[in-house]
Amino acid sequence: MRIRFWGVRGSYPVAGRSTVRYGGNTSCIEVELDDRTLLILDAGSGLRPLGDHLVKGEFGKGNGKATFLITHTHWDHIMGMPFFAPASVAGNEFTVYALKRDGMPLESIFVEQQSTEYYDHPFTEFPARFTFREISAGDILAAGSATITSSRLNHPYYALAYRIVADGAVLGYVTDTSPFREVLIEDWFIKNPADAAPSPGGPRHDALVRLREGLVKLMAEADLVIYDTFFEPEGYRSRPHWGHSTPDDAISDCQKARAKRLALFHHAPDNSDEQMDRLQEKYREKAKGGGLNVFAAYEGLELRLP
Amino acid sequence: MTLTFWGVRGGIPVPGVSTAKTGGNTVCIDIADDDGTRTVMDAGTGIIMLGKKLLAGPCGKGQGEVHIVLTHTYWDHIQGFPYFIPAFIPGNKILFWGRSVSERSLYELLDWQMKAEYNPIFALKNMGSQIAVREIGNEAVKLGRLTMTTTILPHRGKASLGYRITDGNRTVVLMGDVHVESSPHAAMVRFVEGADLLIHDIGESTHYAPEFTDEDVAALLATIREGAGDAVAVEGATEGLQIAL
Repeated sequence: MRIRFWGVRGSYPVAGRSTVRYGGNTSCIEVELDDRTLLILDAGSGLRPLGDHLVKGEFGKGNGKATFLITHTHWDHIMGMPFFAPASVAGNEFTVYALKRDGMPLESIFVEQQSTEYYDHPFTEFPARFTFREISAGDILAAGSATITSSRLNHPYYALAYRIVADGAVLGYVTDTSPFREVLIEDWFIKNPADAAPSPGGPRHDALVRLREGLVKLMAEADLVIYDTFFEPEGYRSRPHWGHSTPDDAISDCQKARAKRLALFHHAPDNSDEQMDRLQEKYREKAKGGGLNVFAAYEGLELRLP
Repeated sequence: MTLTFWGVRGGIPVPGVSTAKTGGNTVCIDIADDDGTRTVMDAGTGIIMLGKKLLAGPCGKGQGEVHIVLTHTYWDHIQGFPYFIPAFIPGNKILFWGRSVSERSLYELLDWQMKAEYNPIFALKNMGSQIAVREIGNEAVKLGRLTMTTTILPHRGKASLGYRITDGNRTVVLMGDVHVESSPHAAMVRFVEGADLLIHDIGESTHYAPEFTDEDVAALLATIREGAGDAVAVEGATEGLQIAL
């Protein structure tokens, strides 16, 4: 399994010199299996350079196939799609998975992103073929030789974490999520964290416990977990309702799951390259004792699993 | 009047080294009048940095008033607003000016960007500040001491707006996304007449297209300057450029 990071930033793409080493593009990860199956994790602005790369090969000839695993449809996870060059080549085929919810159908979420008030080219005019599949957490999917499952995360209007098993390796993709402690985040706007704090021993507290257990199970024995570590502890304290975690929470969950490696991911827009170096150093040290190898993901990083 | 360019990129923000000189943030130009009125043209990701800068003043205390003038509602002109910190501070007043060219109102189009599927804020009204949206007709509008008039530009089947803003002494005209024909309409020429500064989209691409590197921009500028000769001073807008009129 070959993994390449094309976008590692959270919230919005960050241009400018202070983030050029780790990169400013939003979430997009390429996963290529040994049998050449291509999975694309999220469609943030990093999807644009990934697409430009893909059209140099089979996708430029209309012989390309890929499966998108979308964690959730917030802008930073879908904004690259209008700029995805392989979508403009007839013959290419894409399957797009995301969580089934009560609101807009998945296809219309992408179609409306390109409605004529907002963008030049309608999604419906893309020559490539798109198939949208809405799933429930825990459904088992297949893509080539990969077996994929998911679990629900703690994020506004929900998100899915994915577990991808292929080529003798296990990859966990866990974004976006708040820790499973202070608040239970669902489908309504939380103005004050206290409004969403579960009472101890109550059903919402149990729901949080179950969500966390589900995530730990999803990450069990993973060779690599890519986790939303947007916040440092001080930044998180007043913002548990934003739906992002800290490296401390990621390490705790990964150690419980006996995962081998953790990639810090979904970096805050204000985190300069120097700050990311510092974070990587700090948490690499912190996790060493527990046998977990921690590093900060950056644009262009490529690695192989197992 | 002092203009600052906070974002000059079209399409999508482009991080990275190859665009670092010209800038990768999408469209946002800020006009600071001498009396303190803040008029912002378009709200691409360039507005995010402007928002942080404004916190040092009245916007940081909930006493700010910001006019945001929109040429049109394409993503690269509105996508920075959900991250504009002054909009989250109670007491601040944000006033959008523009014109919807669809069945949906300008307010609906801006609110759609905040929808649950797309944004954790769920709706404009959750942001905290007082946000109002005014659709402009052909009338002149007062923004503090500035006077603004609008014109409609041809743009790919939908319209885009051009704005002429003056403080009585100096005049700046912003022609955003526009399809330029070989000879301009008389009405367009009149709209631009006498302007001290004209900010113009560079042709069939939207501003600097995402794939334009700094080298591409320099080459383009050289070509345009050659065509303009001595009649007009031509500058390529870059992020951080400041022009005092």
